[in-house]
Amino acid sequence: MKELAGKVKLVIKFFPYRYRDYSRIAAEAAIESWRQGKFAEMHELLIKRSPKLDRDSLISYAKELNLDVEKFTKAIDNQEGAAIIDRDLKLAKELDLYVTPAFYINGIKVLGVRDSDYFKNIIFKELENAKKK
Amino acid sequence: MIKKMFFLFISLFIFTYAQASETRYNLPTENSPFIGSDNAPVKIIEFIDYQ
Repeated sequence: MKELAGKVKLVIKFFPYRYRDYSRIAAEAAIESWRQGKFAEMHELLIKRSPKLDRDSLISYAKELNLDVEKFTKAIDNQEGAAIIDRDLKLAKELDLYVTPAFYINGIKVLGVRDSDYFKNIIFKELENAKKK
Repeated sequence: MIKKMFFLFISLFIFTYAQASETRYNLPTENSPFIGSDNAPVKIIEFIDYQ
């Protein structure tokens, strides 16, 4: 979606399911990568390699992205992203969300997996609206 | 009486449901990671579970 470069900001909120083994630690990995300045890279990698998200795999992804592995390992082991994850979970609960992915495109709610045309339609409409303002 | 209450409830439900598609939510985004340009005209918030 090169045509959308500079026109879209994607904000990530973490909504790890409680009953999946690696949901939470994967979110921790994303947060620590963010703190080390490589969020986009890790975000992409986690999606690509999912569901291989056990602790050892996550550490190998951190290596792959040249992160500070010692700091990374400490962070996911000590759950240093817990405050962010719990804050996002609380927000999801307030919004009555129970499926992922869930999107809010300029505030418009879209639930579940959709094809890219569905998103493009909304995004282009929103871009048109933005131009009019 | 119970029937009336039931209908009231149902119509309220339908009403709020119809409104829902028009609702725009304003969610906080401070201190959350993002990809793309900060002041882009279209802002997407995604709740994600990586597993």
